[in-house]
Amino acid sequence: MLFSVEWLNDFVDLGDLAPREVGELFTTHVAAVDEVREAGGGWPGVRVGGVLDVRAHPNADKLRLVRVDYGDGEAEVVCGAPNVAKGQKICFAPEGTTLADGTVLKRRKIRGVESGGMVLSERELGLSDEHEGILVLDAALKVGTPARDVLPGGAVLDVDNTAITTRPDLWGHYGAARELAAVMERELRPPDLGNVRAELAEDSEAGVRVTVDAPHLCPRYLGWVLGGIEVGPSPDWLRRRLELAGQRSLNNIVDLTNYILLEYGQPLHAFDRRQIADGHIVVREALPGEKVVTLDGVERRLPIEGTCVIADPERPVAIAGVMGLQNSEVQDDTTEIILEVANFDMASIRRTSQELGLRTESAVRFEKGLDPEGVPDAAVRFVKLLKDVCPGVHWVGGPCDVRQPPPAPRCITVPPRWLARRLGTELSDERAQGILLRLGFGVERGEDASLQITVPSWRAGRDVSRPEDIAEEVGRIHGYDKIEPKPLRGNLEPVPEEPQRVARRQARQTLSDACGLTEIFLYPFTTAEACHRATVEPGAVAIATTPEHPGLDLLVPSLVPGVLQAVGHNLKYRDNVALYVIGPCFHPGPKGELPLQGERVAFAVATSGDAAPALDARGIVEALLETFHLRGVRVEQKQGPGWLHPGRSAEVSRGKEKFGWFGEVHPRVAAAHGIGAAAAVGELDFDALRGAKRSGVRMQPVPRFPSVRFDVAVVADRRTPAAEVEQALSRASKDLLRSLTLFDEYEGPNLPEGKRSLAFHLEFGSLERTLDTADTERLRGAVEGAIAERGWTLRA
Amino acid sequence: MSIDFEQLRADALEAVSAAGDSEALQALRVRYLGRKSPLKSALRGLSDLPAEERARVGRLTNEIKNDIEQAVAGRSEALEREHESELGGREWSDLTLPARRGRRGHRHPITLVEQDLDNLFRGMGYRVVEGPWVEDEWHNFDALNIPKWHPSRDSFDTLWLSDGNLMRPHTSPVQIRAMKRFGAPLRAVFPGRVFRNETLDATHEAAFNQIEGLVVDREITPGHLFHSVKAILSAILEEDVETRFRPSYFPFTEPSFECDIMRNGDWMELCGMGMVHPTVLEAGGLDAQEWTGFAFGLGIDRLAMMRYGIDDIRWFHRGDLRFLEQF
Repeated sequence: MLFSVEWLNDFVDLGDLAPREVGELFTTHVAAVDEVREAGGGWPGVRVGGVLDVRAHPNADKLRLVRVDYGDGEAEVVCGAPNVAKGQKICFAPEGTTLADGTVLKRRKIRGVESGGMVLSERELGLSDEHEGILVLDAALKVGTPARDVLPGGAVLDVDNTAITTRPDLWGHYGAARELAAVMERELRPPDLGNVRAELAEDSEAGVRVTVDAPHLCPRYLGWVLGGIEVGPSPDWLRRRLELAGQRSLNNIVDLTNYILLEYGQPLHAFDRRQIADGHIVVREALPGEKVVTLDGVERRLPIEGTCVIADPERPVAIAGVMGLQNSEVQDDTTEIILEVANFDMASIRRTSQELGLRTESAVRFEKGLDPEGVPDAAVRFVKLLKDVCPGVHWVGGPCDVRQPPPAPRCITVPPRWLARRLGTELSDERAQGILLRLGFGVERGEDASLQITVPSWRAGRDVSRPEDIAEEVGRIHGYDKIEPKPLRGNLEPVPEEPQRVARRQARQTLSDACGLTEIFLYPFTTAEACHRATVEPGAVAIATTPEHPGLDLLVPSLVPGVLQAVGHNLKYRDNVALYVIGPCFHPGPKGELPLQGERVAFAVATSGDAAPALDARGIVEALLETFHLRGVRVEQKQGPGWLHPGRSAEVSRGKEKFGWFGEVHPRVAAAHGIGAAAAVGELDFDALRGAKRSGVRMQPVPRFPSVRFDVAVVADRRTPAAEVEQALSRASKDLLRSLTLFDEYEGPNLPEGKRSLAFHLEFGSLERTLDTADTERLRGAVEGAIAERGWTLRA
Repeated sequence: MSIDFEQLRADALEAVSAAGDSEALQALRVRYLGRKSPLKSALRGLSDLPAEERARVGRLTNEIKNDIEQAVAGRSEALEREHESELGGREWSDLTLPARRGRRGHRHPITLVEQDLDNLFRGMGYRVVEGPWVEDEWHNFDALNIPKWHPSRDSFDTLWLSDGNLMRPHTSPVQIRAMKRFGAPLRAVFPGRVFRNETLDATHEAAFNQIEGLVVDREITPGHLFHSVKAILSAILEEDVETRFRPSYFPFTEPSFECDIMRNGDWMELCGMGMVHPTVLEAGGLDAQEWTGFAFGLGIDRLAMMRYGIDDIRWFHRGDLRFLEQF
């Protein structure tokens, strides 16, 4: 919403404030001003100049040489204005200044004399068409002051619309002026209503019939027939104000309705009287299939439910509160109009304007919930200004005002001293009362000195309804800078860290710091296509909203598709990729409840030329298991989900707890993601990992007696898993085994076809004594026996 | 048998001092002090000597033996030192070759900032609590004083799910969950990811991160809020920030404020906040007559972008290691 400072100044005296200061006051007490703008771009470079002296031009009678002090220096310019005189304060543009019309001032010779700048007229400042003489400023102004600080007429406050969505009263200049008047404790001057009301005959019969068939959509409708209209261009003042507030001028009648909209925030509409059958306005709901052509020339089908239309007995003439129709538009030859000043249901207007995609100035205001009590003044103000614009205007009869009974005024009781306590600042109830009165609230003091507050109709919509709302009104006008910051006090108590945050912190430590993986973030959104590419069953939790950009169809059922995509993306730039993500995956939950959104951890490693990336993945899995002190977890090689290579995948589990899978990426899936290098990927149920029963950390005795070591090389079928051999060896050596380390894997010459040799270091020891030769022989015998028992052999 | 002991000593000491390396020194040790050395032979022959002679020769041979041993030890040490002094030249290797080390992984920059916030707030006695990414309508809107008809519902650009739930567009629903779980008094922050159906550009993402704070206690006033926010922002930005509090609007706070901080001569909007609306306290199961509170919200992405000079919010979800490995 754009507020013209000049316009605000009609209602509250702002003459002594620079526009920037007005903006500052509005921001700190009312609503955020995004920007303070000036007509003519704020006249950058133009300054207040002092005329030091005026001499005749040697070569021209009508020109004069003027010496100007403009703060940073002096300049001599050639000036043709008849009204320039020594001692004046004027607007001066030094050379190099860009004028309102875009020309850049250069030093030039005029009739043989150099001119270094320009003394400006109102037209050159973009203020009006006046160019007969220069604009003479207040003589008290300081030389060198930027022009934008002294020419308030052109200044505009651009207020953030989202900051006033709950304040319908701030969608017009008068409402904004009321706030400034309260802040500055100045008089609020209401708009001039002239003597229109006095001229209305008491019992004048209305010249229009209004039937409201849909009172729930239209709490108030005022129609007024006005004759003697002459449609034509708007006068300068009207055009200028509309343009300052960001609106285009069309013709005097339309411009005046917009003027009232910008002044009171109350939208108006004018119908050509000739087009309204029987002069009868009917307010009703839209009929099924009803089609209309709006003022913008577009044919539209009206939404049925809850759409309010203005019609005559034959056809619709306006979509209520949103836009008029072409069929009843004011024409150049219109002499009689029906003025509509109405109030419509906010929710209905919002829905209709949204469904039609018509966010008009009118709809934007009605959907905020306007004050039905504001209708008569807006109508009278229109007529008052219309008389100025079309002196021949007259009215056939008085207005026809059809309305629902107004709700009882809302009253709020605030206990004595409550506001000061609530706001945490020294603030007397008398001061609060003063503020509220200036804002238009009614305030009475109860017997117990409480404040009995009546909310004004323009704030009663839903914005002010409880004592806390009153605290806000009083606090902001009083000034938040007057509230002294105060430290919190309280009991010191330990604040335990949430377990899932501890687990995530520890997992990141392991994955980032120990395993060298880099954390990525993934969208929780995916598409069926992306899931299929990764051979993951597409998610069953779907997004219903039409997304603003592609890729937002489903919630992720697994982190794997996103991880594979990231691997493919990064392999475009590098040979090594090592990354992980921790995040929720989504699956339908019990009926009527939230979906399941358990957290998982997924990781991937890819190195070009690496033959066994899955063992890196296994290392990562083991590191995570150690992080959470999980013992007895099985890593079982078997064919896993489709995204894993069937011969190179393994499941991580402990009894019935299934933690997840890892392995090498299936070559077809890898290719589909642009993964050329050997890549391994894993996905584990993070909630299960962190929630699984942990073995506590207990110190184990450090051996005092030396170890005995020997090696064995076991020849077995090449498909016999190493884990199986390890298990056999460790079982055989019972509790004396200290460590078992595979140090060589061999297939090839010297071994039978289809066999593989696995060589281990074995280390034994006892906590009670030094093992002797007999012990060693016994252990070796047991190990070799176990090997033989399984049909394996020892490699010589 | 007679040995010229003095000659022997002189020869031995000279030879030892001239020994060029440890092998030569070892050979000399064997020659002068070994089993077959003249000294050892002399010692072995002691018993054949007359008593007074025996004592003299014994003393002398011992003395010479000690002298030679000492000389050998000294020379040995000198040789070692000499050897060591040449170590640098002999075993020079190039340490300007590329370093060999385990690859370090990186945390996401949002994680880094979030962890700092976590430490900051826990240090101030705030619990750090999370809530679900998929929320229900009641927690996300109704409980926060945003009923169905409320126009501000539109401004959240909510992504609704087909099951009627939604991707939370703000962290505020966790306020309700935390009040219900912990009761009052309460100090808590809620960091987490939020989602909006927005057209993406350098400052708009479909997924971004917020942290929201909530304090509920008796007689909490805006003064407490202003003090806390100024202290928190100063800690985050590591400077004594100049703040300004001005009116704003949020459905779930009353009054509502916006905090601007002074940056390069201009006010910059950084943090929305307010006094918790009584209906929100009630929705959280608290008696609004007894308890008051404040809440504030900050964009973590914005803080990370400020801290690291990141120019485009879309980097955070791209999974691009060229970006992520910088942090």
